[in-house]
Amino acid sequence: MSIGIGIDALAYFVSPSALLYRQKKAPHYKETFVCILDTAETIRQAQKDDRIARNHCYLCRFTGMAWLVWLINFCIVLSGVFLGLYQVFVSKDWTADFCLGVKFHQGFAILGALLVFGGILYFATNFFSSIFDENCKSFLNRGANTPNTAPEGVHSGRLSENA
Amino acid sequence: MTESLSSFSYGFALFLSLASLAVYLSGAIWHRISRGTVAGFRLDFTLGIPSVRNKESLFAYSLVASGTSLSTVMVFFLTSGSKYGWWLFLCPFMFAFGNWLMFKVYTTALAQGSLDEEADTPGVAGLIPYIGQRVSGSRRIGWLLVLLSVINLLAVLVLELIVGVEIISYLTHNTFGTEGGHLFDFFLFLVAIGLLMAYVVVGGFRAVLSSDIWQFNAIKWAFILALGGVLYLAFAEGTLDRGLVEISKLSLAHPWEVFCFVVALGVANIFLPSSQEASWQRFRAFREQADFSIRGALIQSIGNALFLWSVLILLALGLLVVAQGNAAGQLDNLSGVLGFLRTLNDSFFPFFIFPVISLAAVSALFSTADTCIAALLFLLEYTRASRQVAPPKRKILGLPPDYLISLLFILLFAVGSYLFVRWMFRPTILQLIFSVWSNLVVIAPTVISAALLGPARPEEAKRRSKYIFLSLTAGFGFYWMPALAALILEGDYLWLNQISIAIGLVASVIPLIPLWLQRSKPARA
Repeated sequence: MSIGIGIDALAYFVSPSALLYRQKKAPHYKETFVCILDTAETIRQAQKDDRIARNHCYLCRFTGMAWLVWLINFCIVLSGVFLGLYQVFVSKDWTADFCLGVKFHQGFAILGALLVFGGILYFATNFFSSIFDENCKSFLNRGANTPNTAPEGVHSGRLSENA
Repeated sequence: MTESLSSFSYGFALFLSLASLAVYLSGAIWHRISRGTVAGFRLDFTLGIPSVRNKESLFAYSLVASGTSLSTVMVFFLTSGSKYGWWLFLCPFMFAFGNWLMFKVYTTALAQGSLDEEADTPGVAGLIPYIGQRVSGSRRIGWLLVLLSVINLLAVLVLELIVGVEIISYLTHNTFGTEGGHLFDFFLFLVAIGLLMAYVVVGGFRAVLSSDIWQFNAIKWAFILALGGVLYLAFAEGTLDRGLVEISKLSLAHPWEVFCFVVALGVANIFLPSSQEASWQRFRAFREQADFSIRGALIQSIGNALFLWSVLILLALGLLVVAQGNAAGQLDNLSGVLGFLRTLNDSFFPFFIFPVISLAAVSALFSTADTCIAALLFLLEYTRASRQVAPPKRKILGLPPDYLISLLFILLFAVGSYLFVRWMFRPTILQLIFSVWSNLVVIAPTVISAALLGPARPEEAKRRSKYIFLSLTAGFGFYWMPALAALILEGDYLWLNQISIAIGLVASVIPLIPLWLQRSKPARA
């Protein structure tokens, strides 16, 4: 369980998904961005098996969303860091108004709560990514015998590596 | 803190709670889309599980998240620290023991053949009525078990929603500065149950399991962060030593109440897990997974339950420490606890801990309530399958018509119960918790009989069904007599509610003793 808590902690404090993958908690993200740029139709054409194609599309979309959520969480953390730096070196007053009557220490608390919510979103997107990754692999393992004819850049090596 | 900032704090908590609901709902929609057209709709709808690598973790998270309800766990622990003190720590250990017993009953019943599914078996229907049918050889026992389980699940669902509506209503009114009213609460109740039903109808059991993981994590981290904040405050103010002594004194202050509490919680936490259809639904769903280890699932479930509940109890006691006596009276209801948390300072608590705990409360509500609806559909399916009526092929709104009838039944019962409890009969939440949550304990002896006795042979069926019928009706009757008396009588009769659990259990055990003593060898070697 302690490992589980450690992984959760990593996720909540916006570790990149690649770290989670190393702990076997998230799918591989190597070619995600290339995959996201392709249309669903391209992927469908590349995969003969419609089930794999469908799951493949969802996998790409959720993987992309997981990265997006990670990016937003990371922005929240960066905002916190800049806010902290500004407070320490420029403002030097914790109780001073930061914006719209919100003081610095209140601003940090709000960013923290947003980060917790971001953590839930991050879990959800990662979870769906891993579901679709498993789906694709299980379809391939069931002997779909689909030749991997995906054109270069359409996530071609990843599934056969993992399967 | 200025008034506008105070409203912002409430509004922020409301926003995060509703946003988390939106995440859970969108999860259900994605499950539906990803499922596509499935040939075995019923099997997939009531027992489908998401394809994840670590199925033991999925099982454990789901079991603990659905067991960690808003009303019977979160509200109960957070509001009864001042009443029972250190004794609250008995609960996680009893619950862990109850989970162990449930796994033991399940594996033994499986080995005995009580869970074997035959030609006339309702394979995708309620498992508790089915094992009751197998051990007694009587379908009527199955229907009786459906009735008892349905009453309990519906009551838990309504109780969760009553508490959930209170929280959302509290946040809404404080955000917009409006006055509370019964009509608005009823409107919130209708919206909440509508969303829950839509969620289960759209996503099926898969969505329930998936969201359990996120909900478990949301609850866990909210409790850990809140506990960290409260401990920091206790250390900073130097109130820890004095507070711990106070809690020790409180723990010994009311021996009779503590005795009743220990009896009630001991009996309920040990026997309830094995009586809940939701637990058995999970067993049935994971049974056919080749790479699923029941031992691994057991260890993770117990570990997660012990950890989560202990952190929550520490938080409840930590609040007492920082409350320092005079504010402790505020901690006897959830709104009071939330209000207290919000005002502990003017930054970290109102803008971080308070919204995060509100989010956890909504997650706890949703995890238990969606489990109740999924289990109810699974149970009610038994009433069709046990009569061997073929499932209708036609679908309305993507669902077979019998599921829609079940949903309508759930909705009508839930609305009726809500109106009855809120407008006609106004017990305290603690009374409702003890009455509603524990009545299922009378089923436990029958379920344990399935493990002890195995399936009934034709010559045993008549005798067994008589004894089991007597056990269930006597248990139910003897449970509700003192429980109803406690609810109706004016004054503080919570102890009577608590004792009724033990009375119900004893009454349901006695008729089964002859069967257990004369048990023959299992029907299957």
